Amino acid sequence: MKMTWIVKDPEVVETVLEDGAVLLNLKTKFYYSLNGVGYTIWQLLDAAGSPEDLLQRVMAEYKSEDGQIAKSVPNFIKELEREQLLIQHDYDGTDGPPNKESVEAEVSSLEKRPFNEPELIKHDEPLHDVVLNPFDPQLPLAE
Amino acid sequence: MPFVSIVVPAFNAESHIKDCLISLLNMDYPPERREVLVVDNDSTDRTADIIKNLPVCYLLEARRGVSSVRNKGIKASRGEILAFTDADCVASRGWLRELVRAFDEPGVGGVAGEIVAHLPQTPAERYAARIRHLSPQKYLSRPHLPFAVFANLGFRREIFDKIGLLDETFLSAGESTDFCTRFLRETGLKLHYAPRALIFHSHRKTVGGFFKQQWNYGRSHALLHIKYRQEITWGWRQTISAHRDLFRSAWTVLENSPRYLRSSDEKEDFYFFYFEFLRKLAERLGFIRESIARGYIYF
Repeated sequence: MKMTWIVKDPEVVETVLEDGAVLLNLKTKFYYSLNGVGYTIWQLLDAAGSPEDLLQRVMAEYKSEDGQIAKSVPNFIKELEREQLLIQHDYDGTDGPPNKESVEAEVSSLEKRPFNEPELIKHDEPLHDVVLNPFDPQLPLAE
Repeated sequence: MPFVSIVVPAFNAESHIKDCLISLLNMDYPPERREVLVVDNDSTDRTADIIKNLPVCYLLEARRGVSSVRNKGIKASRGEILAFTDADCVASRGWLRELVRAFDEPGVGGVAGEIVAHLPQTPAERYAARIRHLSPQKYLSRPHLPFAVFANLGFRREIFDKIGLLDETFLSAGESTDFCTRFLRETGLKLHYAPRALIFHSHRKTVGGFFKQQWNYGRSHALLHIKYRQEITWGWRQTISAHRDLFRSAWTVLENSPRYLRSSDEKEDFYFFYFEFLRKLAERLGFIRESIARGYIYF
């Protein structure tokens, strides 16, 4: 069965920090910061096989009121797609969305963490191209 | 997968070391196939406490200088491959996997990964980001003494058995140029560039920090000239070239100052010229100071 779902763009490099992560898109050259919730969703994308599955996985991790998760997660995914951090991927039946294991839906709400709005901050200083030092290339450097 | 030792020197690094170690502990490399050795250079801030609260190996080196600190880590390591980074760096999740994979190519004894700026914000950081400070692409193509910096380097263990440890004369910089030169000359092996083995480096935030860093580069530059004086000359031609370059930068700053004072729209460009001048000035002064201190007349 043919189906389409999103995957992380392989050109995006990530690093984990104490309270979130930094992404660098090597194609567009822009840096992004993710807060803790944003990074958890980013990580869950590896395992989720559909938008519903992703939502279920986020709900298994976090507790929220008034359907905040159901509203925030699709918006966050759209933002990631808009910034070209995710790409569409067609599965043709020979391969499939990464992980089909079902999520433990009945996790006690006491074990869940409170849900905050996921944040994706785009930084204005991009990654610049390398320019070789025009000063006498015969001289050694000591950086 | 080979067992890898990651060696991280740290000196008064309380503002960076936690993010550095968290990034290393969260890499997509099997934790049982790597060890993280953090060598504290007798810090006077909270660096030691932060390191000891994380699942890494804490080592102390009281002798000053980054070379002796890295050497302490090398001696204590168990890995088949030794990977190096710094306390002001954070590693991408795939850093170690990509670095190690590059060793599969025949004849490779060392691997240099890519270094990019870590979220540059201040004018000093932005300048360093614009010149792609520390990127090995800038240094590996140099005709004389090509090198890459220890902020993102890996070597096979046997390299240290063959050519020895880092030269401890180099206290704050220059040890990378010296070690890479010895590696390339004495082993005949390749220093491979792995662009996807990515490290994010926090550049100096302040003007003072930037100036001191460049001053230290200048001092180390003089040490390299002294060590390799048989093959690299520093004569009147080099002196004129260096000073002409410095004065040209000073003139560019002066020339652009009135325009910047009238309108701040072009302040990014002005900052670029300003830091370009500061870099050259600090490097020149450090170079002259160290060469005189060592009994050589290099200007």
